[in-house]
Amino acid sequence: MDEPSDIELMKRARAGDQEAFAALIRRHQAPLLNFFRRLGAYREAEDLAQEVFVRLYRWRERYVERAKFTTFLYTLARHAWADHGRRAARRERIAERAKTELPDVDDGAWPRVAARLDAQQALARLPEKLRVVLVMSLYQGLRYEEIAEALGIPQGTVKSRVFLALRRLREMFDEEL
Amino acid sequence: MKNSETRGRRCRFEEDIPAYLQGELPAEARNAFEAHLPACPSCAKETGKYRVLMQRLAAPLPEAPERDLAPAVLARIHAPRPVLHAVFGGVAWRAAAALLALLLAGFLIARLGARPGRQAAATPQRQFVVAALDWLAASQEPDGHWDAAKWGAQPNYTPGITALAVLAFLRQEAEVLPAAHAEAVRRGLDYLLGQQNAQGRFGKLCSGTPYNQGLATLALLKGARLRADPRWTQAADRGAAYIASTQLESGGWDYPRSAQDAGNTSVTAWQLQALLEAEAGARGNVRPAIDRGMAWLGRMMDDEGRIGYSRPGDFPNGHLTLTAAAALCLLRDPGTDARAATLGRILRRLSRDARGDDGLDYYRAYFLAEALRAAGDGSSGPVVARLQETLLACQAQTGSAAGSCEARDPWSSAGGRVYATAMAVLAM
Repeated sequence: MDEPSDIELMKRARAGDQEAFAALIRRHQAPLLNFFRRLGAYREAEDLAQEVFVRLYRWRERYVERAKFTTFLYTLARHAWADHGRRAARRERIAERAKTELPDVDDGAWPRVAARLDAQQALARLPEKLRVVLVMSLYQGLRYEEIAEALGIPQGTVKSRVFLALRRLREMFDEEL
Repeated sequence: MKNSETRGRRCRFEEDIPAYLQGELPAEARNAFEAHLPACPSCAKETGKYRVLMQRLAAPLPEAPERDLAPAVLARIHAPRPVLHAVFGGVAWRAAAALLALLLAGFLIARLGARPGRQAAATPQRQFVVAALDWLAASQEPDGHWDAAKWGAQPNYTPGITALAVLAFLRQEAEVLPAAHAEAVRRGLDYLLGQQNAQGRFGKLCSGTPYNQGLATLALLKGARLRADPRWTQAADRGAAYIASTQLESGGWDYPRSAQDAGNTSVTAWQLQALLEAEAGARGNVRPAIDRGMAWLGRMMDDEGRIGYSRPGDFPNGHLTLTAAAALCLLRDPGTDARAATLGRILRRLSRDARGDDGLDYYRAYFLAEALRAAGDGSSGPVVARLQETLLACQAQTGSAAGSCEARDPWSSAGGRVYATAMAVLAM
């Protein structure tokens, strides 16, 4: 049997089906967690992801089934991220991003871990506006049109920000390419 | 297509490369790019480099063990939630709030007594907020505004006090906002739409304009989070654009007189609050205006970390309100890296000078309480407790004004009882 779509699960959740909502959570929790981690909130990613799902549930009556569900979900994620940024003092966020909390790895795996670390640290050094757009585009699989809707900006601005973000990253990695 | 279509060292097609690699170019643009590529060694080389970069970035994060979030999320959804969680926020501040409730309980039970119809377990702060919002809701005019003349305010400030009342309701999170309050918000914001001219200004041009502008824009932006009404967001966009257009050459904002005015901290803080909210909602490019405004604020600081009104050391009404307002802006500005030292000095000054029992000043109470909460400094709990104690004592308990706050601070002659009540809610 085909799995129900996101829209179908939201409809059922609106009708009070808790299992349908739990299924939505399980389907989107991993990419949402990675979204917040890539934005820089590694330790708080789980709390932020939970917050997004709580808001999704409380906003379920306001969801309009005219766009992809993920656009709505990442609109809520963007708001949660913005609220998180306002709560934390800027210095604390810099300290958080500077820390690494990778699991212990053996020597053989270290080069692979180092490569991931470089990419994550490079992302962390991007201005937030560029980082959010790049993460949504490269990692969350959102199209430019969906990102534009989630962030409330023109599609051309999304394209420009993706380009600017990648160009800055190019400058950081330039010697290695 | 010639590869001579370059500006400096970069080909103008370079900006299309990431979109091309991601399949995001429209058909016509894709065809033009593909036709250009063979004749442009620069773009051919850059395309290869961007491809490698994007592959490198696509390396997955280390896979930490993932637990199923569904049980925890459903538990949070269905757990009873104190409303003050939304007001205080932050782990340290919730602890301080609990202590505050205990400390005030003995004092306030004797003063306030049991209030009919209220839950026995409600804290004094919660009772205060409920009563104040009930009064605000009851005193709203049918068309959504709060009448300045009726409540002792100057008529020119009607948009501003309407926005302030709306902001008081919006302190509650959407999920706990009663239907009557959500309706008050809707009517208030719809009223503000009718007060905006084609240039984005709210109300007529007068000395109250900067307050009207900052508060109305802020209220519309926050209201749009409650309900994604495109009319509200578009009005907020125009409001923010107007704010940016009225920024002085110095980088601050002032009463509408001359572009060469020095600027003042009180007005500047509200414009920055609105622009920061706009930027947080990804509404327009307001960063240049924010940066200039923040730089102006930094220049208002004296050697002791106090913020002046129009220049360092300029304290016509003491420095606490101005310093707290600047602190709040800095705490909310994501571009505060370079200003961390300034912020640190300001916060140290506030923690040293703020006592919370300096007399009734709703404006000061709001900025102090908000800044200290945003700073997340648990040691400032007693200061905020004293501030709130002062406010609690100003709430009318009986009669038609029950729930509202006495309009007797230095700024009540401008904002009246609606200002007093709304500001007290925001400070609570």
